[in-house]
Amino acid sequence: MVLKLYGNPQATCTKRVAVVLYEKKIPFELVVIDLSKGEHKAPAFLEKQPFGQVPYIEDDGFTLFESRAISRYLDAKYPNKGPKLTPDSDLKAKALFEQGVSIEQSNFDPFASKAIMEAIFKPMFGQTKNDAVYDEAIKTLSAKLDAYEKILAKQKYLGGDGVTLADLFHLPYGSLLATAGSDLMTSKGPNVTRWWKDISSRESWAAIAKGIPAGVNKFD
Amino acid sequence: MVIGLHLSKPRIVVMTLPNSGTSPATSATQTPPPSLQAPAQSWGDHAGCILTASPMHASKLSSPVGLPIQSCFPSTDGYRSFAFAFGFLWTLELRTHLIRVHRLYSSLTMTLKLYGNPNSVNTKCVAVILYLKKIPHELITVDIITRKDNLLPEYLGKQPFGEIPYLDDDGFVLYESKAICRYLEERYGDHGPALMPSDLKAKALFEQAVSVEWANFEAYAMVAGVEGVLKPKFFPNLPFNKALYDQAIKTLSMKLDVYETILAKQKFLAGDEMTLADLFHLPYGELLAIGGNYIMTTKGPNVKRWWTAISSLPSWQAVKDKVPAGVVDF
Repeated sequence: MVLKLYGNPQATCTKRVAVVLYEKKIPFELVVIDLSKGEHKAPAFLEKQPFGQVPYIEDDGFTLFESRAISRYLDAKYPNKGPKLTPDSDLKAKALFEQGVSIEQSNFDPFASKAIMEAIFKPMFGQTKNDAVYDEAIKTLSAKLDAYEKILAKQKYLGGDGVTLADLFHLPYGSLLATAGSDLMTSKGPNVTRWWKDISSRESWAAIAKGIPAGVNKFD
Repeated sequence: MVIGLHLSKPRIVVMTLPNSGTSPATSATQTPPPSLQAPAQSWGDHAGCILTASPMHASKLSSPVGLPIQSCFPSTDGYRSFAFAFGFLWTLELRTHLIRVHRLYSSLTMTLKLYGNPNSVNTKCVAVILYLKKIPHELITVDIITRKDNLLPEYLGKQPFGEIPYLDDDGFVLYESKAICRYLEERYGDHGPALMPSDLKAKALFEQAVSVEWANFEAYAMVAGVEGVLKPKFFPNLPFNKALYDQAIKTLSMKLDVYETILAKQKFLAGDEMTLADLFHLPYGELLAIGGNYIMTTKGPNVKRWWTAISSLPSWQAVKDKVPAGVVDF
């Protein structure tokens, strides 16, 4: 039975999973959850994802939520499909990959998502952007990207010399920064720019950046 | 007397030669008198014997072994008392010196070094794993408040974000506390309890729990902890943002309502076994109570049961107030 991804075609965390599905060409069906209708808070949804957040997957009866956990599961289940996105043999390579994943989660995501919430999502729901909160988030993100500039001077990608989930996890929020009014990803420095252009021009991201196709996604 | 250093275990061994009432030189040349053949009773005695030959026989020795102090004492007993006291104090002094040398040696040879701070939440996150798995290590204190060691160029060369902690395992440098915990679990898998499953689905549910901790617990507990405890303690001149604190606690409370339902069906967050996902809650969870919020034990019976189970672990108790600095050998 084909894997089912319950989420929204435009939602950042649904896209995070979708880019991995496209990288590894794993067939799936996108079951659209309409967030504006509150479908993610309906009892049937909460049975599967008790926090009422998108996305979650159903893989032959196995339910899993949290986009980063789903991404790791997909790479572990299909190690030979498409690129290997997590190192799994060498202890040190694994540790440096985990360091990269943690960097994204604690030094990028909180600030990028806060800036995008203010500049894009709040206006979308009729609320006013808080300029002070936006500016503070961008300022902190900028300082964090100074450290990225140093790291990426010594290695090609955030988790080492090969592309991994640690890089791909940046795509959903990173791509929205320009729309939010910040060109940090291409103006911070040569290394961050090189790395950002590399990962954001991947075919997998190009296929879903404007929205994940609903229904069955097949790869032939 | 022979003094040896046991390098495999942190122990000083002092071995003494038996029956050292005479110097080796005399036994070959003459038979000692019966009164000196009784074995020495104490280490001080041994030390005294080696330092000085019996005054009665000093002149008979073919090679001098000690200080010519016998002339300073009116009697053999007084002389022996002095030798005993001197030897005892000398052994004590020697012992203190040897402990110091041993500590220095341990520090130089300790290959696992954690650069952090005894008061830091993320240092505590790593420390509980070190203690749970009894991994010998050295905690080297980084002063982030007054000296700001973490902003020095040599520190930034290791941890470019200027954050604590980072690990140096025999030259392999790793930062991000959760990455360090995972590395320690992988490296010392056979030490203590298994904290990460390996089966595909069990691992996936573990990763789900780790992500839940970050996105649904720490995101809010950290704000409440910083606002309610860390800012007043370390940066008292900064204002307390009550609105921010209250909003964080309100959202955290809603998230813990969900924890209550999850923990009704399973013992721990990833399943029925304790994993890193549970332990990651400890540092910020603890801060909530310090800040006067007891949500971890008042939310519901399941959250309370789970929180009590993980927070009462001896390894957490050992580090929760202050992580012991220096060399730690279990």
